[in-house]
Amino acid sequence: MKNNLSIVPILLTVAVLLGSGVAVAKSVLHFAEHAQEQEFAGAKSSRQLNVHFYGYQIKVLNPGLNPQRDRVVRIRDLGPKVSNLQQDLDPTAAKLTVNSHPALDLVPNSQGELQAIIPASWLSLITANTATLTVFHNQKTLNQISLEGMFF
Amino acid sequence: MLKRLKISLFLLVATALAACNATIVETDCMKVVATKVEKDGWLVQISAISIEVKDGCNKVKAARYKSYREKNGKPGYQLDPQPSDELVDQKEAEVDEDTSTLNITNVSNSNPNTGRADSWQLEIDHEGGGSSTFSGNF
Repeated sequence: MKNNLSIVPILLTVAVLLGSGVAVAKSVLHFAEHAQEQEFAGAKSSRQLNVHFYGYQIKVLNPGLNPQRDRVVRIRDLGPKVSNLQQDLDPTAAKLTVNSHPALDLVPNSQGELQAIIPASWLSLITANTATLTVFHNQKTLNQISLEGMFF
Repeated sequence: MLKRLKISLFLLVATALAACNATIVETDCMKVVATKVEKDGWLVQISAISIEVKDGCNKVKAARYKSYREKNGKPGYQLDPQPSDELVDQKEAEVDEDTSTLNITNVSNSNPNTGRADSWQLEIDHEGGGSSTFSGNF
């Protein structure tokens, strides 16, 4: 009984320390997230990658402009006049796989682009995120592209 | 316990601040990786852009990297239409024999003489002809 009683303060101390640790870690993560998004943001509204071979553009909107910090991914056709175009094939469909979550289908938005929204809760702040985009022209797979460098 | 907590926090912060590798683009035939990316405010410095060709795909003969200021609103570095994009820096890597890996070293978005770039372009020449071009913004 005496032993059980004497262990209570120790357990309480450990619990407080763990609680403080979690709070500090959360603060550090929040700071890291904020700093990362500030750094990415600048004056930019999006991070872009152009695939000239087929003539399309992938865009990830600046998460700093989104209160939920979700990642909005869009794909659009660049038309026939883009430089170094090899085969002018417009992207008709795309799938996006983020970490181990089920694949998202990009769907047409009001501007005629393909779009998907990745909830911020799907992204890790500690480990590297994987975001793989597969772009199709009808039944043909155009590219499978890793988006690690674009706001992830 | 406190010591472990401090070590964990140190590792967390160190991981967040350390130079890292970033995949610029990966297709079914190649992977382009920026190695040791360091950011200090707007300045981006990259130890090397590494182009790795996957098995069964055409090898790489040469690669050209350009950093520039986008002026005409058209994707990629272009002199036409006006106003022309402004070249900040360019680097080229060529090999005598076709290879599966090619590196362009010491890449940055800034040049002491020409200023700061907001965009980049990477053009990769393949064995047997043909090229792949990617571009984007910093």
